[in-house]
Formats: sequence, structure tokens, C-alpha cells
Amino acid sequence: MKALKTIQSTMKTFFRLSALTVLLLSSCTKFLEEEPASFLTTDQYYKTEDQILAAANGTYGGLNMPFASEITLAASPVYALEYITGYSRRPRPTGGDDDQFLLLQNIQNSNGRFETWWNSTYIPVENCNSFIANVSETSVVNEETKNRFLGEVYFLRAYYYFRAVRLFGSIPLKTEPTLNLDNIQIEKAPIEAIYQQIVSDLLFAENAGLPWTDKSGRVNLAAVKSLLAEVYMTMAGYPLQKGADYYQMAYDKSMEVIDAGAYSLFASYADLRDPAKNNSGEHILMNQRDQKNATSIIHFHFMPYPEPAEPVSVIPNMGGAMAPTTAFYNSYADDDLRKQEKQFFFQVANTPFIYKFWDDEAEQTSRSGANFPLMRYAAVLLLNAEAKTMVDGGTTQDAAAIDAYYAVHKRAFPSSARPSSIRTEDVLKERYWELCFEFHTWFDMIRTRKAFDVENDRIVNLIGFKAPNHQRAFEEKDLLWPIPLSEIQANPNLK
Amino acid sequence: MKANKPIFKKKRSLKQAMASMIFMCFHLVTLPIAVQGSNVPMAQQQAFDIAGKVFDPDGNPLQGASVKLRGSGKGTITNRDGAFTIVASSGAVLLVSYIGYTEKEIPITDDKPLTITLEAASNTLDQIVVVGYGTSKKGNLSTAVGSVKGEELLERPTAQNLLQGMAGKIAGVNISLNSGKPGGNPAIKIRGTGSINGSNTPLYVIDGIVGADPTTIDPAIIQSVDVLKDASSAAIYGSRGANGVVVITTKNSDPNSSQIAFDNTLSFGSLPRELDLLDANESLEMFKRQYEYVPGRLAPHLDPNNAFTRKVDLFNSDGTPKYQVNWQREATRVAVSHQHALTFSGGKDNMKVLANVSYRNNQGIMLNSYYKQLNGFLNLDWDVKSWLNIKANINAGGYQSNNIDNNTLGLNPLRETLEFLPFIPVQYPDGTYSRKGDYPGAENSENPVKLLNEVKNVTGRSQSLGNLMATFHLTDQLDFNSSVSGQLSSAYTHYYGGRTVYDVGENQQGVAQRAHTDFGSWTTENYFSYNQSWNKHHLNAVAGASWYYYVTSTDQAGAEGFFDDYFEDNNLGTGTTPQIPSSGKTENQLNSYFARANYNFDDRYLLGASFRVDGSSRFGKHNKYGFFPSFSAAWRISRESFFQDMHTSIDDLKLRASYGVVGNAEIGDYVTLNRYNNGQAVFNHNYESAVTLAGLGNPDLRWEKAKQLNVGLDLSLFQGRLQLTADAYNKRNDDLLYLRKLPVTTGYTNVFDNIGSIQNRGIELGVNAITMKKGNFTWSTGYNFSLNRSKVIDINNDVIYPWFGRIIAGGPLNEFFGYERLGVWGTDEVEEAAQYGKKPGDIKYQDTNGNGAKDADDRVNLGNAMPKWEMNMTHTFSYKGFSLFVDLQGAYGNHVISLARVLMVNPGPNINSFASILDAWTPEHQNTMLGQLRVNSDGFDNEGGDSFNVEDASFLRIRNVGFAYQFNKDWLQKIKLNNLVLGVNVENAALFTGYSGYDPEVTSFDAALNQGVDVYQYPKPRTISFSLKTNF
Repeated sequence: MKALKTIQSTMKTFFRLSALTVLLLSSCTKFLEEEPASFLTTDQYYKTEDQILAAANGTYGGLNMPFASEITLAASPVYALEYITGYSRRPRPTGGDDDQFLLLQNIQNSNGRFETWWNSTYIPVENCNSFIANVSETSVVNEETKNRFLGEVYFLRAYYYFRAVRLFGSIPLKTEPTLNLDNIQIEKAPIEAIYQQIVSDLLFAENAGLPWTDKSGRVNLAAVKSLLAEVYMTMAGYPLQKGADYYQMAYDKSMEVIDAGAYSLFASYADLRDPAKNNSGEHILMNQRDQKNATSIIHFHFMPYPEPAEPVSVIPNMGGAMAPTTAFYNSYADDDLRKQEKQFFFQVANTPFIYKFWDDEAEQTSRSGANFPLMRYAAVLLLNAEAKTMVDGGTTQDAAAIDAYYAVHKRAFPSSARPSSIRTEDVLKERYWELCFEFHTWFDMIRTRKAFDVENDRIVNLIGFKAPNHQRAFEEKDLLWPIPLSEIQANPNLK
Repeated sequence: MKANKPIFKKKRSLKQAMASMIFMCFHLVTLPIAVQGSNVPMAQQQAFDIAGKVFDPDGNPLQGASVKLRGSGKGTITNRDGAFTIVASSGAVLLVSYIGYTEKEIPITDDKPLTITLEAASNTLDQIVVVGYGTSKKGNLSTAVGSVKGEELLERPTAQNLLQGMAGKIAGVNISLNSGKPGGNPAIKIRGTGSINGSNTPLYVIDGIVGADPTTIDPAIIQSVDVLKDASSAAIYGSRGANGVVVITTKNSDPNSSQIAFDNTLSFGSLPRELDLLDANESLEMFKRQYEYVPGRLAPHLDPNNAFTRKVDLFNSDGTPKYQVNWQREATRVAVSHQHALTFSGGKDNMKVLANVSYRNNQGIMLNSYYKQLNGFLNLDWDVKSWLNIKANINAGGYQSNNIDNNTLGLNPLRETLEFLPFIPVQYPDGTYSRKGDYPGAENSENPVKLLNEVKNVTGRSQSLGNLMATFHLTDQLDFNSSVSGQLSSAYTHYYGGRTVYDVGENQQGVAQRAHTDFGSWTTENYFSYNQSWNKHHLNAVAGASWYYYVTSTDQAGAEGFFDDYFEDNNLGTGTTPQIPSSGKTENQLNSYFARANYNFDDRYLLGASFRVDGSSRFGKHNKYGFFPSFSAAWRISRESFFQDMHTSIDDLKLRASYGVVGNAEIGDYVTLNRYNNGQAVFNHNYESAVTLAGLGNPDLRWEKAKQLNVGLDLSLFQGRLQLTADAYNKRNDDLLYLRKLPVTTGYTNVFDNIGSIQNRGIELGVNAITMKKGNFTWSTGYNFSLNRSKVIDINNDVIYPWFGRIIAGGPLNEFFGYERLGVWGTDEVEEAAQYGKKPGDIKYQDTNGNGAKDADDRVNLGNAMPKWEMNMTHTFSYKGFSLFVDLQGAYGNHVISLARVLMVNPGPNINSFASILDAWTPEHQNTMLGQLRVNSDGFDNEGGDSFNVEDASFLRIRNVGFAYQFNKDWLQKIKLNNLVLGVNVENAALFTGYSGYDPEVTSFDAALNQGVDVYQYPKPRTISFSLKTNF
């Protein structure tokens, strides 16, 4: 009884104290709120012009994403795009993922390279989508500034989608930002719809008030029109096969770039490597790099392997990523300037390696900050010529087209005469030689469904052609890359 | 508090929270006085003074024994003569206890003086166990708690910290040392890995300070470590108990005798076994065969046309080597270490003090690696008033170490020690260090001795922790406890890679970096504890609330391009190329309310329930709080009258069952917010700010929950000579805090979501026995056995690939995964091999899916990194003052993948290799697992994680053998010493295993998901130590 009483009295005290405690605790409701200090959250953003600029800058990130470097020496997903053409080889063996492309053998959707290329599309696209959704409605900047920013970003979204639709074919088309986890398993869109979006984005950019040139390396009007020309060119060819009308549009659009006169071919191939000439002259758009904190993998990755006894570089041991196959190297005429030592190639132990992107400064500082060309005037000229040959049924006498072709050809063969007519085959071969190892060749091959039979010096059908480094001939199934396994696992609608 | 101030400066809401908390504490401090006033008269009804004396079984007075009134906080301590007086009332019960003796209950009927004799405790059932916000006798526990006594932590004197000392002591608590570097890299897993993206480390509580760092405390002052294994015991720490709780209690002083303890250990460590690598001639034979892959091709040292620079320095004219170097000897040393602990304890009247200083200076067996630690600890326990007790702790100290094992996957000295060529000298006669590329057939890399000498990677930390805990005795039954603690630590990394160190600092002409991480926290715990007994009923209840605040702030700077190595990292401004500096800050908060009740009827039926509500700032707005209940029950059958009538040799038999839910919030901060990443973009070599989307926040994120059912049995036989504890558990982590893979079309690769379940089931057995006792001879044995099986129930159909492993629904964690190597294609299999693009001499893999190609679907499970079972056994033989100690550790069925083997038993090595590589395929020797030797550029032909490289790593280790002599106490008295023990121990005395690497107990990565991945481990030394312990 006494114990019970004690309990009662104690309990009373206990409850009194508890009540007081609870009262005091309720003043702590704000205690659990998060207030991050070292990064921004989305609800605090797009309030100033500088914020808009920083976000626009962020949308350029996708240009460099495929150049990611991997733990394996001299390995990067970007090389897959050249390995698959079969004209390059990899001097330093890695096995596995790279061999699937190098040998055209047993390509599987679990290959990690696909994942990087896929992510290099949709991660920057999301940044573009988010930017477009926010900036389209902003009144923080005036219409003119706003349009210029949007023009850059629309261009970049088109660039990323164009890259992806050519690689993967039918893929999801997403133009609105992700706000939550609802409805995230999107279906594939028809290829045609993706091209329509690309064209519409580029048309916006074309009218956004961008300047013809921009020495800082930002998106410019020439880049927009050149890309649009290439989009039309691709739509004219495979897989949409829209034919002559689109070849004509590609011709006209590229002609606008040529007529504007804002860009020109460099006099020498060495100028392509000259940092002072970046973002001007022949370089319409480049992947911007810098020695300090945005280094480029290319220079040191393209060093010869096995390492020569006499080192050719301050960092000789990172090389072996890519070199031309002998057959491709031999396809150049002996008097082709591009074949001469230290133009596009250099010889080590009687084996050709790539010199095209050599960075002299890197040899001084051990860090390469060289920009990498994404869109070159030479490519626009050749596209212009090729488009006209297609419009005219395979051969053209169009003076402008011939001029375009001849400008590129003459730089390689200074003493060559101007032809009176050109065939598609001539232009295509010139593209192989001129644009080699710039990650263009595969796109040309799948858009034309033609390949360069280097051993017999002729353009042939892609299907049935066995490229120099491959173990078998191309088949229909090789023309599109599979959607990566990891993406299908996360979104079964993409099966 | 003052020291913490800068941390709160900016945050208004925190300031408010702080203010309200201080306000609250103030109120709580003032309250008890009023309460005391209203209750004291009642408690004093029929009270009288009781006097008594406490003796040991031999009749000697026991000084310092605790005498307490049950159900109240009141108590006293016996004096030099074992005497005490205490105020009590009729019907009260006195609890008399002394460390090492069985607690005794004395019911008070009148005021006659008492004579109390305590029995020596052979029975651990009377051991006091700390259960979180309170204590319990082990015999009255209804939950699964494993305990280690302080002395046991010191059995192996070279154990460098608490975790190392705990290794193998508790069933179900797996402590893998994983590295032989000084300070080690111990990983603790209590009942398996439960979380994939959340943390898997347990919560540490030191003297009531939740979330303390166990490495800062000197094991010499630890009274006991109690590991709360099941959900029911851990649930009182709800939020962070998902991986178990380790409760550490420091020693309590004896107020009436001042003691000085001084412990010293001097030890010598050395490499216990060398790996069987190629010697100079064998290595050259390997290169010769590599080059001969192409008929007629000559290795550089045999090729007269290859006049490489160092050829004459390295080779005689006939191609034989000039040097024979054993790099495992060149890069290691006898490591001399010493550690000292000085502890003062004592007190007066109502005050007890413990002061401890410890210093350890551990050399590693790899050149230049070390770990030094200095810690100070002050513990004060003061009965300020009859109604108030104060406990104050101050713990301050720091450590510094040189980590030679960084850059795990790249160029590091551990790796080069194995891969460096045995025919190249450490230094040439002119003093220049050699490089591996001095021989052109090899991959170039830096000399391990130079790496050890000229790369500095010093990390360290200084920390201080203060804790003040007040206990108010509100009534005889009710206490209020309030504690505030603050912790500050500053961790740093000082790095310098020299100007001439290849691949480290040469290209940059020296690389220097400094990084700091400042960590601060304050926590406050406030709770009532209530004890009441009537007739045979005993009730104990706890209820309270706590707040925790943590802040981490980081900064880093670096520079490259130094004109001299002199400065190292001490003058970054000297470098011509600064690196981008970085800094960051994160905070998180936790707020909890908890209650627990334990009911005990006649020590026969035990019931417990606890309930905790936890709120974490890390979760979404609507899910900040999680609810964690638990229940437990036990039946002490041996206390039933029918059982006592049976007169068995069983002294105690208890059945236990418990079920509970605990939580996990150990993900990063801010994951429920939409986040931007702030970086830089470059335009024509100018840098501009660039902002990109970094993470999609999941506002619905909530607590991960671990539900655990535990059944157990405690048995004590033959007057406590044999004690057995057995547990079986089924633990299931649901709503895993899981980085769910998103379709990348969302723009994000993953998001934290509550998805999936992982199950861990297992059994544990612990036995303590006095195996033999004859006269002065005693042989006691401790044995424990653990078995755990993990199973992934669901992870959203994702497949995760940890290092060389795969996690997939339906399978276990820690499972290696890869290709099955069948052998090598023979010369009579040309066509078959060609189908796979291979030739005779290439490795043959199993075509599991039979599609005629080697592809990812051919991969199979290759064995699990966690043991099927593990066991530990200690034996102590003592005779008079002599004692012999043997500690055995065994694990069965665990697997290890060794990256050294992947690269050094490889068909195309350009590095030194294991001697077994000469067993490689040749047309004359085709029955082998090793492909034909070739140089790397002849074609790649190896899969890293294949069946050949996953090895059975079962092992039995004699972890420690020790011999000690304790001097006769009578004799010691003459020289004013209370105790003197001399000991010699051998740690890591012997290892029996089939594993080809140094040590099968290893991982180079996070142990939770990547146990058993050996990437050039730091070998564990065998250490001989001499120790001297005194007490005066």
C-alpha cells in the first residue's frame, strides 16, 4: 500500500516534469531543418543574370563527357566511336569492353562504353531542359540577352540529341525537366520525332541573335548553321532517307556558312594545333580545355606504345590509346601532305601514330590543355560538296561545290589542278582522310551506309565490308548501338 | 561550450535551439530542489542509521565496496576497515557490491550492525552490464548483450586500440584487422552487413556519450565493453542502433585508496613470411620466355642489338644479372614500438577521480610508416549533495601517422615491393635510385624504397571531448539525469610527393597538399530513471529526450611546381602552380525521445519494452521522425521452485526472446534536397563559374529499419565453472537507404530511396569455463563461435558490382563473381579455341551459356568473402604467479581475391611475379592454369576476377601467445608496490592458411561490401612484446 502511494506521488512528479519538458521541446521544431551552406538548391536559383550565365556554362559539360578517362591506362569511352569504324587499332591492349568495338566481336549491351555515351546525352540534356524551362520565363534579363543564352542552350540540346539519335536510333525524347520521381520510365520516341525536335531547336538558335564567331569558344551562328546542315544531310541519308530535298537544304545551309566568310581553312596543318588559332579560322566549335584544371587526355593517350627506347614525350607511359591501322595509313597517297611526317601522323619504330592533335605546350608543362576540334570548316566544305553531288545524282559540276571540295583537297596536294567535276566517292574519301580520328567517321559511315575499302581504294557498301582491324564484316545489327543494359534495367520500357 | 561557439555563429535556428536548450537545462537544474523539498520528509519516515562491515571470503576487510539502498540513488563506500554507515528504513534492501565479487542483497529489519561477507564472483551472471541509459545484472538481462571485461582487452599488449583488443572476444561481433599498418584498419561487423548505401558501423557510447570515437580512449582505463547485439537492447539508441551499439565504460576509482598504475610495452615487429617471388635469375627467365612468344625475338638483356642505358650496370656480358635484390627485405624493417599508460585513481569522501595519460609510438614494418598517439583522460565523479551527483569527463589528445599505403590502385610502395625487379639494385653505385623501367622489358615505375623515403603522406587528428552529467536524486526512486557534451576534432593530411619521384611528383616538379577537416558536435541527453521494488516486483523505467548537433567543415589547398624539395607542404606559396582550393561545410541534427521499462518478478520473469522516436534533419519534411519499439522477455527457469527441487548441477538457466526495430540514418547530409553542383567551365582558357544539376532530392525519404528477432539461452553449471550463452537471430533490414538507379533519361543516375531488404541470420555460441582447477593451478577457457548468412531479398531488380563481386536479389552479400577458368587451350584444340578468338596457349574460360562466345553471361559465382563460420578460443593457464595465455582465431570458408596474383601470375607481366608463374603453358607443358607467357603488346589474355584468382582463404591463426609472471603481493608490499606483472607476448604468432598472399584477413576497401579484396595489403607483422605493469 505504501509502495503504491510512493509510486503515485512519484508518478505525479514525473508527469509534471514531463509536461514541462514537452512544453520546452516544442520550441525546437526548427531544429531539424536543413540549411546547406556549400551548394545551391534549386529553389534559390535563376534569380540573377550571373546565375543564368553560370547555368548556361554548365550545359556545355556534355561536350567533354565522352572524353572521361578511366582507371585503365589510356582508356576512355570516346575511343569506341573510332574503334568501331575498324580503321584504328589500340596499341595498348585492354581486352573486354574495347575489344568488342576494335574487333567488331560480340558487342553486348552490358558494355560500359554505351553507358557513358548514353549518360553524356541525357545528363547534359537535363541541364538544358532545366535551363530552358527556367530561363524562358525569366524577366531577370532582357529579351535580347535571354535569347542569346537560350540560343546557346537550344543548340547544345540539339547537339546532344543529334549525337545520340545517330548512335542509338530510337530513344526517349525528353524536353521538360524532371521534377519528381513520377512517370520517369519514358517510352522511346520515333527517330523522325527526334530529328524534328533537333531541327526546331536549331532553328530557334539560328534566330537567337548569336554572333557569327566567338573567340571565347561559345556557341556561334556558324556552329548552329553548320550543325543544321549536317542534320539535313543525315536526314537526307540513312535512316530517314528524305533524299534530294534535304541534300539541297544541307547544301544551302552550308553555303550560308561559306558565304558569310567568317571562317576559312588554315594554310597549314600545324595551325590546327596552334593554341593561338583556337576558336577561329578553321575551328568553328571546340571542346574547350585548359592546362590547369581542365586537361585533355588526347595528347598523352596518343603516345606510341610499346614505349620506344628513346622517349618521344615527357610522359611516355600513358600512351597506346589509338593509332591508325597500317591499311588506313597506306590509303593516303605518298604525296599527300597529311601523310608527311608530323602532319597527321608520325612514325615510331616504322609504325604510324597519330600526330594530328599533338600539343607542344604539354611537352613543356606535362599537362595538356589543348582544345579538341568538334566542328571544323573543312568538314563544312566537304559536306557542301557532297550534298551537291547527291542532289545532282552522284556527280556535280557546280562551281561552288567544286570550290569547296578543291579547297580541302588542294591543301593536301598543293600542286593538284581544280577538277571540272566531282563525284560523291571523291568527296567521301576526302572526308575519311581529312577528318580521320576526330570522331566523325562513324557518323559518315552510318549516314551513307558506305565504307572506304582502303585496300582497294574505293567506296563500298558498309554492310558486308570487313574493316582493316575487324574480325568480321559489318552487318545490319552493327549500325545502331544497343541501349545500355543498365538503362533497360532501370526502365524496362526501353527493351 | 565556449570552444563550440564559432560553430553556431551563423545559424539562427540553431542559436534558438541552443538557447531553448540551455533554458531547459537551467529549469531542470532548479526543479529538483523544489521536488526534493516535497519528498524528503516521506523518505525519512522510520529511518535509522545502519552500520556494518564488509569482508572478503578470507575475512579481510574490503575497502571501497559499494553499499547502496535498492531503488534509490543513495549509497556509500566502505572505508579502510570495510566499515560503513547508511541511513535506511525498515523494509529497505541494501545492495553490497565490489568488483570481482558477487553482489549481495541484505534486507533491513532493524538497526543492528551488519557483518557482510562477499563471495568471489566466479559467476558472470552477477556481472554488471551497461545497457544504455542504465545498467543491469547480466543474470537479469532479457536481451542479447555481449561483454568484454577491461582486463581481457589488455590480454594482447600490442593491440593498438580498443577494436583490436576486442577482436575475437564476442560471438557475433566480427572484427577484421584487414591491414598490418600501424594503427591497423579494423572493421567491425555486428551480425553481418545490413545496409548497402547506408553505414554499417555500430554506434559507440563512452560513459554515456553517444557517438564518441572509440580510438581516442586508452584500453587500460576501460572497465568493460558491452555490445548490444539484438534489436531489443539497441533500440533504446533507436536511430543509430541498426548496426549494434558498443557501450564502453571507463574504470571507477576507489575513493579511499589512491592508486598509480603504470603500464609499459616494448615491442618488435617483423614480416612474418615472405611471398614466394621470382629471384633475379628466375625473373630474367620469365622475361626471356615472354619475348620468345614470338619465335626469334630476344629479351632486351639477351639482345645484342639492344643497348639500353643501364645494360652494363645491370648485366654481365653473358646476360647474367649483377644484382640479386630481395625487395621484401629492402622495404621492410624490424619495427620498434613502445607504449605507456599512466593512470592515477582515487578520491576522497564523496569524490572519485581518474586521470590517465597514454602514449604510443608504433613503427610499421614498412620503412617510414608510423603511428603516434597521445591521449589524456580525466574522469570526475562527485556526490556534490545528497541529491546531486556530477560526472565530468575530459578527453583530449591526438594522433599522427604516415600512411604509406595510399594510392591503393596506383603507384604505391607496397605494390612496388612485390612488383619491382630483383635484378635491379636499390641504388646504383653513384647513389641514384633505380627505376623499374631501367630494364626496357618492364613497365616503368618508381622504386619502393624511394617511394617510402620521399613521399610524405602524414595524416593526423587532434580532438577534445568534454562531458558533464548531472544526476538529481529527486526521490528515493526517481532520478533525473542531464548531460551536455561537446566534441571538437581537427583532422589533417599533409602530403608531399618529391620533385624526382616518378609518376608522383616528377611531372609536376613536386606536389604538395594540405587538407583539414574540422568536426564539431554537441549533444545533450536528459532522462528520468525510476526504480521501484515492492514484494517480489521490481520495476525500472527510463524516459527522456536528447538532441545532437554535428558540423563538419573541410578545406584543402595544394600547389605544384617547386624549385626545391625543402619546403614539402610547409610553404604552398612556393609552388608555381596552385591547385584549385576547396572547402565545404555540412551540418546535421538529430532529436530523440525515448522510454524503456523493465519489469522483473522475483528474478524469475523478466519483461522489457522500449520505445524511441528519432528525428533526423537528413530526411524529408514529412518523414523526419521514425518510431522504434522493442520488446523482450526472459524466464529464469532455474529460479522456479520445481527446478530447485531437481538438484541438478545447473545453477542458472534462462531462456530469452526479443524483438525490436532499430533505425539507420547514416547517409550523407542534404540528400532530400534538389542540389546543384558548382564548378568551373573553361572558355578559351578562361575559367567561368558553371552550375550543373547534381542530385534529385527525394523528399519522401525515410528511416531505414532493421527488425530483429533474437532467441537465446544462458546456462551456468557447476557453481559457475561452465557458462554458456547461445543466441539465434533473424535480422532483416527493410526500407534500405538505397541509391536507387534511375533511368538516366531523368538526367540523374541515382537517387536515395527506401528500397529493398537484406536479411542476416545466424547463431552465436559463447562458452566460458574453468576447465581445470587443482590446487594453485587453474586452466580457464573462453570460446566463441559465430555463423552468419546474409541474403539480399530485394534491391529493386538492380545488379550491383562491387570489386570483383556481384550483389543480386536472392544471393548473399560479399559474393565474388567472374569467369570460371578451365585451363589453357592446348595445341590439339586449335579450332575450338579459334571459335573464341583464341589460340593454343591462351586461357580457356567456361562458356557457361554455351553460345560459342565469351561474354558477360558466362560469369558465375566464385565464392564468398565472409567465412561460413568463425571461432575464437583463448586458454589461460595459471599457476601461482605464472600464467600462460593462448589466443586462437579461426575462419572457415572465406575467400579472398588478390590483385597481386591477378597481375603477378599473368600471361603478360611486365613486372616481377610470383615464382609460380614459371609453371605457365608451353607446348611441352600444357596441363596448367597459366597462359603462355608473352609481352603485353602481344595481346591481352586475362580476366582479373576469374576463378583462378579467387582463393579459399580459410585460416587458423595463433593470434597471441603470452607468458606473464605476477610477483608475490606480500613481497611487493615490502617495496611499496601493490602489483607487478612482467609479460612477454607474441602477436600474430603463427598463421595456417592456403592463401597465397600475406594474410587472408584483409580488405583494401570498405569492408561492408568489399571484404576480401586484397590490393597489395600492408602485411601484418609478427610482434614480440615485453610488458611491465605496476601498481602502487
